Amino acid sequence: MSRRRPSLPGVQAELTRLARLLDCAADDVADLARFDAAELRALRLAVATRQRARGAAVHARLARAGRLVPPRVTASVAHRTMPARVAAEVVSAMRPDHAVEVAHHLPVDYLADVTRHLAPDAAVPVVTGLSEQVLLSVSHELRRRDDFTTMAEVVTALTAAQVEAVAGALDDAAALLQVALHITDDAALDRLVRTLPEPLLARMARRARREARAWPHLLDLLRRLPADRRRRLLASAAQA
Amino acid sequence: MYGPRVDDDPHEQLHTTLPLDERAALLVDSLTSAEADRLLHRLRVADCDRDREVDAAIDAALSVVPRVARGHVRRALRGGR
Repeated sequence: MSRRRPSLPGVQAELTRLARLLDCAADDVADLARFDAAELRALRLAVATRQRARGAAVHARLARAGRLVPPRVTASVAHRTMPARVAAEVVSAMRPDHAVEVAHHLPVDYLADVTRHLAPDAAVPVVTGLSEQVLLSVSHELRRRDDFTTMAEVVTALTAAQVEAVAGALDDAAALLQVALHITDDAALDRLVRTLPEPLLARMARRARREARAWPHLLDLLRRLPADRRRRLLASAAQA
Repeated sequence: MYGPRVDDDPHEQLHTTLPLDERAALLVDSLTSAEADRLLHRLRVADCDRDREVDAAIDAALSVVPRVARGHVRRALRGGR
């Protein structure tokens, strides 16, 4: 039997993502808050797929045009002329290797803006192709903005090795706890929890213990770990 | 005889407009008519906003492309339009 969570950061994250797609405030879709995060994620992905399909022809033309000039020029033109949301949709129509080349010439703040609008399936080949330096810069920028909704989507797209690199570089239990709470894809959450080093998970557990609202979600995360590892972490959190 | 047409039903329109999987279809079916109507309206407004945004981006891109590449880029961007 499925269990309703007592508080719902995942639901809020999905409402925020849906509102971004629909160009409205999260409050405007707040009447959907009675659904769970997985249901809202399914609706959001359907909206994103439909919007991309609708603009596919023009995005493909923009992507082809981007190949007529060197990546540095494409990046400069995109940065100067394209709202981040349009750029994110064009990325979906680009060959991932070309999108990666262009991304390496974009300023970090614009890249973070584009990442905010990137469709999950388009994000995977692009984000996993980014150099570690660019990936970490974008992660730090998103952290600086407290944009955990986007960070959670980025982490969902990363390989385990990249998750380890980002988590290590951020070394921020409070931020990683928020990222984990905003992930609505089960497989990504499993990967995150199994990849994070134990001392960092222990710090996240201690942090969650201090934030009553986060504690039930942390327990939900820890359920994904083998029993012995889970017990060690809970004992460590209890001692804090 | 004078009841609403099936294709006026916002639930039905969401089903035909969005590629819903089983989970999303259940969510749509659980919406009230007013909620389904609002969602449909927001989708249409967002479509118009996106079309305008893309058109503006194409115009802006053409204005900054280096002169030597402008002809190629114009043909590539405008396509059949």
